[in-house]
Amino acid sequence: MNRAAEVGFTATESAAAVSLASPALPTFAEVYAAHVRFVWRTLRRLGVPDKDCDDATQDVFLVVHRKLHEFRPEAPLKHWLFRITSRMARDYRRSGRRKDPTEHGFLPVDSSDIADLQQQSPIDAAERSAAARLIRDLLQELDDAKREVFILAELEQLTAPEIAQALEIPLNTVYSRLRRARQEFEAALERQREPQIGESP
Amino acid sequence: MNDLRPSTRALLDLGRLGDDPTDAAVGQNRSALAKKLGVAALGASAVAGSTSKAVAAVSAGTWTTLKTALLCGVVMLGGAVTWKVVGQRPAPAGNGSSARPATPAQPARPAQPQVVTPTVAPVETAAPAELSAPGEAVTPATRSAPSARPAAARSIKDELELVRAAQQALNRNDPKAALALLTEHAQKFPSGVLWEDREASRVFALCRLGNAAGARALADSFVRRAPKSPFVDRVRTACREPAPASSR
Repeated sequence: MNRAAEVGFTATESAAAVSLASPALPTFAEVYAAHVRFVWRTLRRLGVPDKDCDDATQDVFLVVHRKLHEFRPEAPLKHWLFRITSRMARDYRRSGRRKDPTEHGFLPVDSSDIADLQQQSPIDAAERSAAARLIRDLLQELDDAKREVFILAELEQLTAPEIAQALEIPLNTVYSRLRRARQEFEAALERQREPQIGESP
Repeated sequence: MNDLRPSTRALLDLGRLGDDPTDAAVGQNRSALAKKLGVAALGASAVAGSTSKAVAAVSAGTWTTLKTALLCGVVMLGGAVTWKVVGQRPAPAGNGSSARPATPAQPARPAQPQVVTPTVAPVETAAPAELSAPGEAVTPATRSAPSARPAAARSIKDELELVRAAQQALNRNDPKAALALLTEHAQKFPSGVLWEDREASRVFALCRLGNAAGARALADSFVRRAPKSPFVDRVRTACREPAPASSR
């Protein structure tokens, strides 16, 4: 069993997290290495278009770079990062902004780039990408508040108290939002299935 | 609380890692970010200012809290995954000689990464009556003022520490230590907010110890007590799950 996957960390993230667990204070580079994938995938799940995720991830870490000294480690770093990422996602969605990809000298990344084909069989990668895409579509049917709770609970697998801490909301609010989010997610999935049933010969 | 259907859970398990960027995309991102920060590479020299401020702002004691929190996500990796433990302190401003490499070594991933739920799925548990009042959530703000901190919030934090420690013990394949911690939790917080996590973890620990009969009995009791718990499926099949890879 891949123990890293059990806690939602990729191997790279886990290795970096180990370095963070050393007696040293985290450098910005360590924070980046430990959490860049978390930030990227969270942006995608929060509705930032694929083509903007690279820029948005950079923007999140520019904020982190500027504010790292303000971070108060009473709570996990990941929670603080999530709040920054969530605000950035809202900003990107609201403004619908898209910078010229050539501005930064690299090409945009689309869905096909997401699955790491070097590490997975093509079938696995395709299945995961397809499932992730469907989940993202369904998530867009939730409002921001429920979407955030659902992502943290069901995809990042945080506990309810951790979610309350990450979002700085009461614990009971987490429970109620998660309950409604699950219902709405299930309903959205059901609607997704219905046309397929009708289309079958 | 309403749980998701098994088929929905399967979808989430399958797609959970499907949103991660590729290593190549991360490399591009890192390079572009370094360019924006005006440095050649994303190493400690790029962030000496932020880091030195962080060093000043973060006391050794509070850093321990951060370590603990981060360790919650750190478990032993088996197979081809290589641990990389780097304990260097941040470089002083203008001196990048002791900094970590700009691009941390990428440990090899298993050929077929598994998408599995955590040993103890960290999902919500039923809120006990004493936590029903809004505004009692554990927030950094409440913790920063211990004298004004509500007792409920304090107990949640204490509960969380015990359950997390137990989960870490399970993750390092030390079910005896996990059981001891869970017993301590049961004594201190018999009806705590994390009681479902505790009982589910006990089932997993008993399985790891080879006590399948005890695990089944406890699982049956758990299901009777919390038939809608999100842990129900996992405790029912707990003893069929493979043990974690032994430590490094």
